[in-house]
Amino acid sequence: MIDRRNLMAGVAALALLGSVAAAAAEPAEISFAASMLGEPLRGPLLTALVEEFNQSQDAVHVTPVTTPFSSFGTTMFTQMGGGGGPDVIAFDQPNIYAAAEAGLLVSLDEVVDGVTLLPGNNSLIVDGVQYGVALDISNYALIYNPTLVTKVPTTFDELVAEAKAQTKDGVYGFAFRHTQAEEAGVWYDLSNYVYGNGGHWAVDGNPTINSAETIAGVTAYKTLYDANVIPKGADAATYRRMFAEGKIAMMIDNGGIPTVLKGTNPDAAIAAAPAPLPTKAIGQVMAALAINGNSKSPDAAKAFMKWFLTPETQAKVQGFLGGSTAATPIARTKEELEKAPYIEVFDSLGDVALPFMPQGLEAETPQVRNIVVEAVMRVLAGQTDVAAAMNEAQSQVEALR
Amino acid sequence: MSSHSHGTQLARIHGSRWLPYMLVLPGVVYLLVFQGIPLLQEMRLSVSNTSLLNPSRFNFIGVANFSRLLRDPNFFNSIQVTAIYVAGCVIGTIGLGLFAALLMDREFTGRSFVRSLIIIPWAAPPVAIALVFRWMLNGQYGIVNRGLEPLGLMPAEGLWLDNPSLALITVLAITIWQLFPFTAVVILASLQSVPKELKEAAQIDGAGLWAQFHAVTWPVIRPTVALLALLMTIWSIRRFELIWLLTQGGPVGSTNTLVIDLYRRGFIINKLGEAAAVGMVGMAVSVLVTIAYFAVANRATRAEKMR
Amino acid sequence: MTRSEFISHAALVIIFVLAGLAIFPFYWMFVTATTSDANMFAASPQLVPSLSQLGIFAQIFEEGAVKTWLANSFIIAAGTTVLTLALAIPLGYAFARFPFWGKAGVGIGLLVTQMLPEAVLVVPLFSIFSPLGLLNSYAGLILANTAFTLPVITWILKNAFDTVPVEIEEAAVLDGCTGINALVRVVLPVIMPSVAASAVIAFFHGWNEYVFALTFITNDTLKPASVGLAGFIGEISTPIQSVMAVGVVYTLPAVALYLLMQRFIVSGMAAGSVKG
Repeated sequence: MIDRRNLMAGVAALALLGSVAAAAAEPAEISFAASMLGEPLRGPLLTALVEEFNQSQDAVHVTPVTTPFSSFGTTMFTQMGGGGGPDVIAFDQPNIYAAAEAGLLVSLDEVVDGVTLLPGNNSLIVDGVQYGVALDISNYALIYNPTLVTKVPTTFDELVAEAKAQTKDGVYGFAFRHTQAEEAGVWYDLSNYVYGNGGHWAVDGNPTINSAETIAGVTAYKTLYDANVIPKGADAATYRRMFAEGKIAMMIDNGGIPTVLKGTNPDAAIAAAPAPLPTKAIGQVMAALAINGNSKSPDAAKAFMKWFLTPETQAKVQGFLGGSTAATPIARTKEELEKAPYIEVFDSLGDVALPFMPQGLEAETPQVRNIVVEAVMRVLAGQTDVAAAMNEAQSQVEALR
Repeated sequence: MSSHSHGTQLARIHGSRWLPYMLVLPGVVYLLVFQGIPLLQEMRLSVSNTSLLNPSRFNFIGVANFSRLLRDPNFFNSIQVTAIYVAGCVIGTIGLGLFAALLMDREFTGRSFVRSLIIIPWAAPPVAIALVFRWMLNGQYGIVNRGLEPLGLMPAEGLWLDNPSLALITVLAITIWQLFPFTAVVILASLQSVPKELKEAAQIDGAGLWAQFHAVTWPVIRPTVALLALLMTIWSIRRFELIWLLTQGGPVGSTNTLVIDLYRRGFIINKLGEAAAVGMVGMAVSVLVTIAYFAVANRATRAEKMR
Repeated sequence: MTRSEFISHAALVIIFVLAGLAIFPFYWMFVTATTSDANMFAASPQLVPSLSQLGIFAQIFEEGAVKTWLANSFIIAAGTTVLTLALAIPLGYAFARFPFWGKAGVGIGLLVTQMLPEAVLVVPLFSIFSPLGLLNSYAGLILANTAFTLPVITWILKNAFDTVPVEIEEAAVLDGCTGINALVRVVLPVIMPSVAASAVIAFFHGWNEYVFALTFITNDTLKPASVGLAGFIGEISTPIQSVMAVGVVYTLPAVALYLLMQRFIVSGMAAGSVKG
């Protein structure tokens, strides 16, 4: 069944390409922006894939565009607001909502018709319309250094105890993002503890920032911060590098990270386990491909996306994503699993993983994130306690509407 | 002779009374197109709820942005932060610059070498400076903490830019480090015009260093220092990339100056209208400071003439 | 030791300490760039550059992107310099020499535009440039940068022209040198130091500029070094050594240019901006 569907998708892609080709003798020029294109490891592989597409047909020519991760959303929005921007853009999930609500995205319903997508893609449906398709989906889990950690913690208390025991001789037991300068990263890391404690940022558009579960999650985050087990002030780039050098014992991070760590140090010792939190729920991050409403060649962009979703292309994408998955279900190869057994841990979380957005308030994610992270920063600085800070954040978010 | 009579005369000699207009026109048109029109557009934005994603969709909402700002504690915080930052920059750069200039205004071996070294921070790009200071202030491996730890001078948990009570002072210190070379060189140049005879006369009279400075040096360099103060004020209000790349305005808003707040509202939260309103407030503050400066400067000049 | 001897010794010590503080971060950039992976995370820091690691500089140039960034920064900075001077010299000259209708208004305009933060004008400029095809072009950045250098450079040059005695021009005119010729042949050479200082200031502005380049340029081949380097912040896989090495090669040209032109800048500043 799936095979026939995929076959149909492929045929549809070819048909679309044909129609584009018929419309113009010259190949339609489109641009494709993704922060992944600028990464040292996956970037060249993704670029090569795009080049493969360019070689495979004459109707569409795709030019890759790199923009640094830290300023990606802002740069894209500024350009789209000015009536321009790349044709195909790999956005963060919340940006899909903001852009869709502003009427700046093209519906992908026609592109995904007949394609089996992983459930994570459902978070890219806005008002019943599919506006994005995952480039990569990454679930979060406990990543640890097996040469340091011999007894893998299964409860939060064990996690804290193990992190404390590991913190010695220049090694830190744990690491996460905790500085304002990495607001988005703090939001991800913090959300893992909230989800893992059964909490949410919002349910059906009603903020639940001061619910007991959410407060329990923030408290867990603060407990680890106060336990003197993390390298204070280190940003993700620094502590991930430290992990690769054997200076960090554990961290809760996403499935794309082991590949990055191996790239930094091919000998890095890496293993994974589900995060030791009260519930199985955990965070999920993805870059989502969308078509810019300003595009002058939306059909060419659609043809490129169609090709991107074909099983052959998806298998190649999956091949360099490591512990992340592509948009469609692709079986892992045996050698892949032998080389990196931890992949299975990340893959097993697809059904329980939640996006880092307040449910029902997705387009407001940047504001909610800013309010919550500032509140948590005050907590970490000892200026207030968790419950008071979350109560205040709750009323600030309510005032947004 | 006033420049007016010269000008008329010159124009006559040059044979065209249109010459000044021909000279001025390109620059003025340029500024109108690339500063004037965008500024008007930005003013228009400040009374709209335009978002970054639809900058051309104009929806007039009157003074709602401004009244929202008046109720926003973050906005008042950013005004306060801006005031501290600007005052700190002006006092720090001028104080240290004056000090360094006075020290360099004497003969010693290696003087021109030292002067060249000191100017380097001002010549360096802010992006590179932000990067190297982030690294030097790194909590675990930064050279600053590694140097201070044995002395017991490390701040709580080794945090500088991520410490709400130290971030602003750290950003200030980095800014002053980058700008004091500029004020030092400029003050040094104006020190050259202090008459040597007067200094020597004061020395012979047995005046102390401070009395010498007060009676002889200060009157000569005062206009320069005043102008530098204005420049430093305007530059500090405008400064963006150094602060943005160091802290993004955090932690807990402790380095959130008006320009950072503006960028945050406009480009992170996508509310261009609100950002434009912040920008208008920032401009108004700058204009007021400048008017105040010229009012004070004029009065000083008049007082001088009266004497 | 007499009191005045003590003071001058102390002054010497302080001045060398200040100079040390001024250059230490640059020294540290260089040391970090040449630190091996093993020493980077070691218990005690490496304090001097290790010459065996100098290959890092060749390495960053091999990758190509860095070369492109620096070339782009240079083109943008040079373009900004030329355009700024072309507009500011006549403007400053007219301001110093002639009465004309609207002079006060233009003067106030020049002052006000100096106060505008770049961040305020990013979006309106973007929407103006977009239909004109000026995004993703050197021209767009040069035009935007010049809007911000023009007021201050005009001010510096106006003050420099003020110091030139009108008699020089009158003599030149009597010798048969008219109009623009007098400006170019007689007056400009006199204020060359201020022109050089202005050129360097405009060049720095273009070389350092970040916000416009960040928003207007999406094409990799047009990206300047400021944006390229800032992109390393929070980026996972680029080693700190490479980041610092790029920082060094980005800083070096600006500092070298400054040191070369130092004499002009100091006298130009003194003659120009500072006299108010």
